[in-house]
Amino acid sequence: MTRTACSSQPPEGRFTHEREVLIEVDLIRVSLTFTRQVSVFIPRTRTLACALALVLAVALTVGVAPARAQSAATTGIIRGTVYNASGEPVPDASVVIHHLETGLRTVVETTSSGAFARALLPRGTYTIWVVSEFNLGEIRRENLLLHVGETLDLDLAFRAIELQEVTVTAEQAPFLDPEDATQSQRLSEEIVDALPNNGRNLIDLTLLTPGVAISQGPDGEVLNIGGQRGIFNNFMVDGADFNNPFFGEQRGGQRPAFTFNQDAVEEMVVVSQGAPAEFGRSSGGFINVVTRSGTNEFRGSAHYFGQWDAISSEYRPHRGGGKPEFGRNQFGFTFGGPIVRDRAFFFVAYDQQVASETKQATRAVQSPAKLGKLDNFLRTRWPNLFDAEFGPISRSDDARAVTAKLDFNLNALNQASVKYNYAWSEQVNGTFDVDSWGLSANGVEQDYSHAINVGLRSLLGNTAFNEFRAQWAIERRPRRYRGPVLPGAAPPPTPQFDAIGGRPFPDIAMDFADGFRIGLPFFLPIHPGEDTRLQLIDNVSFLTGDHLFKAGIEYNRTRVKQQFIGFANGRYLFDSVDGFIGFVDQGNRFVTCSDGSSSSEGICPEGTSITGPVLLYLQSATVPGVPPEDLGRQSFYTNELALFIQDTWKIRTGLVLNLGLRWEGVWHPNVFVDPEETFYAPYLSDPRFPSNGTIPDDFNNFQPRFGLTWNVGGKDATVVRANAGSYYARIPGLVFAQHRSTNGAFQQILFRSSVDAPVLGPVPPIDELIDGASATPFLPEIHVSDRELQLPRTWSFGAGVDHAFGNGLAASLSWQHARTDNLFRFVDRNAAVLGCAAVACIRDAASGGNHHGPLQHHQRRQFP
Amino acid sequence: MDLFNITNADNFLDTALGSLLFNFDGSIRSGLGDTRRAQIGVKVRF
Repeated sequence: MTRTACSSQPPEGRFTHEREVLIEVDLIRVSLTFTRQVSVFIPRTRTLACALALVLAVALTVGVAPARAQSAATTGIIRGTVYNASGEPVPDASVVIHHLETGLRTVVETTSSGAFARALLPRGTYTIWVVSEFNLGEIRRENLLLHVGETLDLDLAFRAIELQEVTVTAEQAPFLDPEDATQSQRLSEEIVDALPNNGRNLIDLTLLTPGVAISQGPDGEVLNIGGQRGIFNNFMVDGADFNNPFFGEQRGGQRPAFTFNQDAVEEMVVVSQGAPAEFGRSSGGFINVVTRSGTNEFRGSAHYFGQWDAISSEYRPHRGGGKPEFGRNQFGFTFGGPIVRDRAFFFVAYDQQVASETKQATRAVQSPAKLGKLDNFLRTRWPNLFDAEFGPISRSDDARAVTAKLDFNLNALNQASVKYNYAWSEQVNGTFDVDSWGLSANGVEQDYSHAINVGLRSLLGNTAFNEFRAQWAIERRPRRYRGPVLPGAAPPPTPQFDAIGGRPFPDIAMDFADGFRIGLPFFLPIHPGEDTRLQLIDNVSFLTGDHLFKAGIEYNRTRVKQQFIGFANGRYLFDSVDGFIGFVDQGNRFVTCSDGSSSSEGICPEGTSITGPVLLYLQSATVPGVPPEDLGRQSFYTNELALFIQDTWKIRTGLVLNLGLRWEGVWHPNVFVDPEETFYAPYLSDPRFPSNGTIPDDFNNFQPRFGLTWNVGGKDATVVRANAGSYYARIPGLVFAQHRSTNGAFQQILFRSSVDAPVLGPVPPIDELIDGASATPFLPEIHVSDRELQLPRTWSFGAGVDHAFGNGLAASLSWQHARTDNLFRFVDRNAAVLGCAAVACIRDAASGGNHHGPLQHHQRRQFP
Repeated sequence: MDLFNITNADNFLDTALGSLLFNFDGSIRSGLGDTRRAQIGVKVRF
């Protein structure tokens, strides 16, 4: 993902941003449409020149289809009214709807008001004809293209009785969607196929949507939609939840090159605002991907794309010049067709990437002399273990993705589908790309997932439809260490170290300026690290009068299973390279003093004080009575239930109102230990203590939704849109991980420093660990959830107007306002116990944050 | 053939915030990303 100088970067969505308790965003959007829409998102704080430059730049490079109404996650709707030659509604007329690609043919009859509707239709080209028992002739429409989530609204009129002959009309979709109340962007198969996409990761294409940007998330870059946190999006594939329940991002996260063959995508829709009640679990936006299916024709594709350094450029001279060393090969195929014509179809897709690069070929550090000294010390002190520590690092980036899909037209009333998706990726030395960090601080990053989806779409009588979808998926993200082990040192007792065959060098950082780092990063090794998801969805649509109702239920059950040992192998922060060398060479009692002297006995001259070299040593461990091998082991469930109902009401021709209400409830995981048995049990009844020790569930999440479109004059030339609603996001499992276990009653974090050594005890030598299992917690770091914890909520309002000038040119102007509260954070700086009255509140008051006290729902502190 | 980053502009990665000494992030990339890259490819549809 590339940022530009005119990037519309929203506020960052990082967990550790302590003061971000409320986001309020206003967006003004200007779009120009040239045959296919070209849109640019302009924050109102940007300059006009910058905006115009972006408009021009994007207009020259991007073609995006006009947005369509989002009325269903994976299918579309054809509805309308049948009239006779006098303009009166025709009841009991038969409307035949024929999907050309698969031969699916269904018949619905018009109601007493002449209305008809057919929901749950697959994307594709349709022919429709209408016949009536009153011998009115036949209406026939051909080449109607229906997109995912779109509602095609047709007024069909018989001509005079002499029209016994067939009337054939070639349809062309209106340039502006007259029923779309959302702010959304559609990327059809043709567009995805035609656009150059560096890396073939379809997620990058979401950046074509106005209001979508990127920022750094908890484990790499995340998408920000409408100014909201990246972890608040809902990424869906074929209507199934495609999110990681622990990190809150899309399945696979940011490290895999891709998780789908891009050519397997039939359509991708990004809804940045105004989604109807069917869509939930997001206060940001919705990314809806629908994969291709087989048809009556055998079709496929094969591709190869290669990049390597020989045909690429050097860095510019002021950046040091030189050519990066890399190579990347991507190859794959898609193939689909009929198993039984008009009845059963198959589709398969495969994509693979084999890539490598040399990173840190030159080390851009502030002090090359210190780096050289450290490098030389490591080579001398531990021969053969750090020979390549600060040399160039070879990094791989391999990926594979498989999709297999079967679709069945069981009969005119029922269609079924089964899909399997597998994705795998591995980056050797893919943990960091930091010039001052060594090879040993890199591990092997893996991600692989399996997902099985099934779906059944049924026509229930003449005006009712049912859709059932189910998913089971598992994702694993093991992270392995491949650096040196300490000779003769015993590893921590957790099972991850069995495969390493010894104790890795601890996580060691040093030097304020450069922050050199070697050894096992504290978040490795991760094994197991997996999550599973079971999802069940059922919804019913039915037509009555001018109302098309849809109601549904969704259930999610996720399980996170992992063992995160954190600082179990120890983490050292040294003030300098010399301090580190002195600590290793002269022993763990080595200290530096305020007068510049040092001592290997841990004693400074009278009148001076200890200043280093160990600024901080951290080690996580279980508490007495808990088996040490259970450190960081977790397996917890989260259950979610949602209900919704929505009505798409065609008030009159050209005026459509969408009203909906959604409710969501969540059962969060429980804590490990009964709060009454924890270290902080004496405080549970103290109103000043922010928590009752549990992780609150949240069931009070009612979300009204509103959408209105006005096709001015009914000519599809000018369309006015408005939407409003509330949206609740999830709280990822990562936020609760420490709340469940770090409570002083299960595990603890031991800390030492050179300064505190006379009180707390000496900092352990780097080849030793503190026996944490026998250490009674002292000032244990504890993590709790606020009593009033609630899901983040966004109130969103938007309005816009589109106008088609003809000849393939249209323009639009829209406004969006989004306000989010209940944002969670790790530390409540407004808490009086943290000195709010003296310092912190003064600062927060200046920023207005002090007025958001009820919005703060995550707290962490130490209680003496 | 495709060309990316035609002007060979600086393409900064995700730099760390604050001192690296006290960094507790799980994913950091410093320095420059891709230079101007050419891509050779072939795609067949049937």
